[in-house]
This record gives sequence, structure tokens and C-alpha cells, in this order.
Amino acid sequence: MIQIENLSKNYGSKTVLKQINFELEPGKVYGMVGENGAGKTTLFKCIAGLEDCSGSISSPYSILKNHLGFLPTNPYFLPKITGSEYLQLLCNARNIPLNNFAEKNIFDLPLAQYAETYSTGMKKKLALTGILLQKNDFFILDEPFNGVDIQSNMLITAIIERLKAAQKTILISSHIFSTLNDTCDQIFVLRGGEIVQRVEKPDFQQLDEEMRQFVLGDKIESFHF
Amino acid sequence: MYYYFVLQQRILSRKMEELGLHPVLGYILGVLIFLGLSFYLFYKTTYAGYIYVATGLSVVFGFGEKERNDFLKTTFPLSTYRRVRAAENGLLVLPFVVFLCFKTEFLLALGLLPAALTLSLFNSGTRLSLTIPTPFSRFPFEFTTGFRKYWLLYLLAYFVAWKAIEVTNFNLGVGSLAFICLLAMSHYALPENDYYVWMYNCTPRHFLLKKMATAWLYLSMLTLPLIVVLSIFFWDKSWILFLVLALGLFLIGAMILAKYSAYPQEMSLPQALFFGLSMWFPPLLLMVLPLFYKRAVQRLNTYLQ
Repeated sequence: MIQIENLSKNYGSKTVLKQINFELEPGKVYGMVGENGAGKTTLFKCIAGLEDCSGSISSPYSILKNHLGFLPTNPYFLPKITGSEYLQLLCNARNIPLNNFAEKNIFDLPLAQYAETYSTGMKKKLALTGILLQKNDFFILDEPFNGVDIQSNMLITAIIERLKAAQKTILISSHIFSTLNDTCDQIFVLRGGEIVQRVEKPDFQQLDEEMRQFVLGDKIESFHF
Repeated sequence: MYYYFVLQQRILSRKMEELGLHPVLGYILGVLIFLGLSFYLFYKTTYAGYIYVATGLSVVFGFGEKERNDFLKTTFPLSTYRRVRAAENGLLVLPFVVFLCFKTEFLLALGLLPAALTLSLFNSGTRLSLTIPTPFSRFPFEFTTGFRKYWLLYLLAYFVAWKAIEVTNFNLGVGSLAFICLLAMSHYALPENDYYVWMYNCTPRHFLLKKMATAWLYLSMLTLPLIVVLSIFFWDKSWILFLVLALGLFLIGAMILAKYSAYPQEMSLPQALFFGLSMWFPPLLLMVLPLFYKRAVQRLNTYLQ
């Protein structure tokens, strides 16, 4: 089990995450929803160890990040590196002895091409393939469905199901509520840097309604179309 | 258009500040270095004028990069975009033109300016769909990307080495070997995105060793064929070639330590200057290597532990 306790993050005097507490169990999929700027990506980076923060993150592993596959919102690709070289780099980094990626190319990506020339969706799929090849136990997927075609969306959903069945822990953020509805066991609502709600599967539809109300309200009325 | 140039100036000043240099001092130092190198070039060779024009145009060429120009095209109306690019290229070659005039190379000066303005009409660096093959795919990424960026320069170094054999000029051969070492070192000049350090599951010490082992392997792969061929033709001096290789291997290791000692920032100017000095007098580097190593481990600890 991964336990996050009193996690806080400040940028100077600005607090972006306030006393975040939650637990993640193996074999479960967790969703993180919130508006842009709510702190989802910062929270993910803090858990991954890419950002400094206060509080504690405990796990069964001595170094959590060595078992963590992190898919950033916009994966960064080095210039003039092909898709297969990117996968090779990720495998080398985790000492995974693999150098033929043709069989593992589940998204049919043009692996001989430079990764920087890929479309947004292809980049995301390549980055996801990379962290899957690393055989991680814990996955943080920041907007995995963003910019990805409908077929790949279905494939990603199926992959998440498989990961869950293999007792992996998955934390996802998405702005597409239906994808979370399909995949998650529990959803955390992050607002203003705080987790304001934890919702179990039976209450997802109600959460969707509440969020719609909260986001839309009468804001749209100020526009005269 | 005016605001665009104000922003460019701000960007330049900020970069200098990041390097630990006051912008005013940076500009003065920039002018002095430019003048120093220009005088040195004209003192050294009779072909300086041509090299000078080629250098000026290569600077301008970099500004024609496609992505950058696409951004400018979408930001400004076409006429403003054309004026921005022409003004940029004009300003960039102006110091070269002035110095050429000072050296009474009026014909070259007169040719350089219109050539630079004409280049503003074209974009360079269009993304090639062609993937350049490299023998460095097994352990990406520094040599893989570096080789693809500079393969023409590597080719040039081999060509110079071949010429060295043809004209039986050993020094030229040593120069080409040293050039390959320097080129390889340049692949480690800039810090990579932190994700590419974070993803390793090893200690900072192990990480540095991995990076160095890869650099040593690939630098040897690039230089050993050259050394073997040069040794056949300059057998009695082959030990010098191996000495240069040993120095190259030592310096590339030092470069890796220096890079990560500043990570995730770029090396500061004093650090880079010190490193440059050490290349002329390597024993100097021996003194700071332990410090570079200690700092590199500290910096990497943030991402690897």
C-alpha cells in the first residue's frame, strides 16, 4: 500500500497543495479530478519525486520511484531519438534486457521514426508503451486519454484493466469523466490544492452531476452568444 | 516588431544572468571575445575573410530554423514577419560586416549583408523524415542525438585524417582526432530534461559510472579506427595518438561530472571557463574533479533517491 500523509507544496508564498492525505492499494485504480491549476500535475510530480514537497510518502519499496511508471501530461522527447531508441533508453534505465520492440508495439507506432515528429497522441502512446515495458508496480498516468484516438482510448482502458488484474496500483487524472467512470474504483476531487471529496464507484454519476453544476453554474450566462 | 526585439534583448540578458554574469559585463565580454577571435583569425590565416563570411552566414542560418519561423509567421502579419527576419539577419551579420570593412575586405563585406538578407527569405532545418542510422542505438541518448546532429562534422574529421595521410602531415591527423574528442564532449554540454535522469533505478554514483562507461565505449568506437589507420602510416608516433585518446577519455569523463555538478542548470560561466582552461592544462582538472563528483552526486540525489 502507498500512503500519502500531509503532503504539502509551496511555490514561494503560494501554497499549491495543502495537507494531502490518501492511500492507494494494489489492484485498484484511482482517479484524480479537478480544474486546470487545481494541483493534479504538481501532486503527481511530488509523489514521483520530481518536485520537492513536505509530508511523507510511504510504500513497501525502499525507493518508490524505482517501481513507478510516470506518464506526464506532455511527455518530453529528446531530439533525434527514434521511437525504438526511446524505448531502449527506458529499458536500459531500469535494467530491463530488451532490444526488440516490434512485438511489444501494441499501438503500431512507427518506431523507426524520430519520436519528436510524432503527433500528440502518438507521443503519449509511445511514453505509455515505455513505462509498460519497464514492468512497474505503480503507475501514475496524467491525462492518458488526452489527444489519443478512440481506438487507442479503448486499448488504454483495456490495458488499465489488465494492470489492475495484475495487482498493480494505478492513479489517473482525466478531464474525460466517462473514462474515469469506466476504469476507476475511487475518485479524488482536488480543488484549490486540497482533496475535498473521495467518491466510491456507486456514486460516480452523482459526482459527475455535481461537478457539472460546480463548473458550469451560471458562468456561461454572462456570455451572449 | 519593436517589442519583439526588446524581448530578444531581455532573453539574452536573462541567459547571461543564469550564467552568473551581469548583463552589462556579458555584453562587454561578448564584444571583447568577438574582437579577440576576429583578430586572431585574421592573424592566423590568409583565408580569414572567407572563413569569417562562412561563420557569419552559419550564425544567420541557425535563425532560419523552421519551428521558430512558423511561430513568427503565425504571430506577425507576413510583411512584419519579413521585416523582423531581415532586421534579425542584418543585426546578426553587422559586427562581421564592420570588422570586414575595418580589415578593408569591402567586397566580402558587401557580399555578406545581402546574402544574410536573402537568407531571411528561407527557412532551414526542415524536419527530415529520414532517420540517420547510427551505431549508438544500443545505449541512447547522448551519442545517438549528437551523431545525428553533427554527422557531417564527424565525416569532415575523417576526411581531414585521410588528407593527413595523403600529405603525410601527422599533426593534421592528431588535429582530426582531437576534433572528434571535442565534438563528442559537446554531446554532454547541455542538461537533459529531468525525466531522463529520474527514470534510472540506480544510485548517483552508479548513474555517473553508466554515463561515463557509455561515453568511453562510444568515443573509442569513433576514434579507434582512425587511430589504427593513422598508426599504420605514422607508426613511430602512434603513442601520441593513444595519448590523445586517453586525454579525450579523461576529458569526456570530466565533462560528464561537470555537467551533472550543475544539474539541472547549465554549467555556470565561471565553471565553463574553468573547464576550458583545464583543457589546456589537464592537471588543473585533477584538482577539481573530486569537487565536481561530490556536487554531481548531491545534485543527482534529488532525482535518483
